[in-house]
Amino acid sequence: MKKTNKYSLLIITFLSGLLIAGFYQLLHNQIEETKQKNRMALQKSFFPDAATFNKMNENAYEAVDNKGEIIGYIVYGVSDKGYGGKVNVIVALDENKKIKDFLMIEHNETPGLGTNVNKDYFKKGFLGKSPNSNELPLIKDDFITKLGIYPVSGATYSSLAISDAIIDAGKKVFKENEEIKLDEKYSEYDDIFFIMEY
Amino acid sequence: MVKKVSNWQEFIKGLYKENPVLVSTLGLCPTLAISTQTINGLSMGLSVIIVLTFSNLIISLIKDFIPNNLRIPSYIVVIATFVTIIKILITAFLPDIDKALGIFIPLIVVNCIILGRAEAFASKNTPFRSVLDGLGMGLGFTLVLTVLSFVREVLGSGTITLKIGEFGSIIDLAPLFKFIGLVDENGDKAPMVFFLLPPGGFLVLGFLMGTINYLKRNIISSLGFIKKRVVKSDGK
Repeated sequence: MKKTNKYSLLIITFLSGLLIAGFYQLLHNQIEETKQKNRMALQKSFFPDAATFNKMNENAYEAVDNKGEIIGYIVYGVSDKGYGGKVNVIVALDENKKIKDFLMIEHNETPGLGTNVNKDYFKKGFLGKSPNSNELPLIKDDFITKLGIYPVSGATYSSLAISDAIIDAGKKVFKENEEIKLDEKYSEYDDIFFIMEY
Repeated sequence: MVKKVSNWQEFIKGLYKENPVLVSTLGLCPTLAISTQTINGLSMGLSVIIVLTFSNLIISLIKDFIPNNLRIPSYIVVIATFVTIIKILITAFLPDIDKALGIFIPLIVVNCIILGRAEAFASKNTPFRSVLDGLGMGLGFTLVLTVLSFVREVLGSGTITLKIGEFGSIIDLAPLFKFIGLVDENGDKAPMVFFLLPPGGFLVLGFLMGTINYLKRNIISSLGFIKKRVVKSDGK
């Protein structure tokens, strides 16, 4: 009575694939649009006064208020040093390009451990710092010496990945000459340290 | 001897008599995990209704076509197809829900209610009855999830969230909390956060199961519902 077919699974899988592909084809523009909308809402939450966000490059936006003045920057940074792979961070910089706020988005860190980097006790060490490798931690001990905070306990990798992603974001917002200027500034400090050692 | 069950009974059994959560205790993982906001329970339930109904229909249609030892992979493929479609739809139109339910939408694929109904019912019954069964079971699941998340949200956060995207609203129960006297030292409402945590979920679910059992034993049997059915099956 049963008319079974040995190719049935193959046929089912093929039809399923077609169906899913069709739906995706129909809706992928809508998905992109929704993502973009969410992104804008997120950017707006960092700068409630901003009227528009001007695109500087692929990952950086200028927040401009009603009078046309730049009140800050939104930069997307990425690092592959996270515990679960890639870590995406959205960084808000104030008008002097110092860190105002940041949020880890789209990540694979452990909930309850790695995700604690979004908590205020960790964030407060970064506030007011410049997003470059001179002022932000590169190794575990840097957190205390440079920022005066401890990395999130049990999540050193996530903490370092955040720092790395913010440095990456910094590279995207600073223009070439500004970076050179910063390096010069740092060499001055080097001299001071050199003197101090003797 | 096969008991004759009317279409209506096939539909209604999922609501109380064979309720997937309260009686069969299936699908507890999403039930406990997402039932912290009313809207989450409701939307999860609706997603399950859609997936369950369609997968029951398709599986019932193709049941004679699938060799016996290939049936589980085939069911999973069918279920996964509908879950993926639901996931695409939710990501496109309801990003808030997508954020709240997160991994639990893709995990509907391995929800034991759906696979259970496919194996126990849809693979042995006609498409029409399978759809009724899917709708009934899905509605039962949704009902439990909604009640559970409603109770947990009211007790745990003192709000009722009925907001999808820009529609609906969040009802704040602060006046009620102040009226009862559940306030902290600043005079703000002090909801019991315990109910948002897993133990609170278990507790509410336990009370819900107890209530249903009580109703079944006392109220429904006193209405003569169960007796009638016994007489019927004896007569056959």
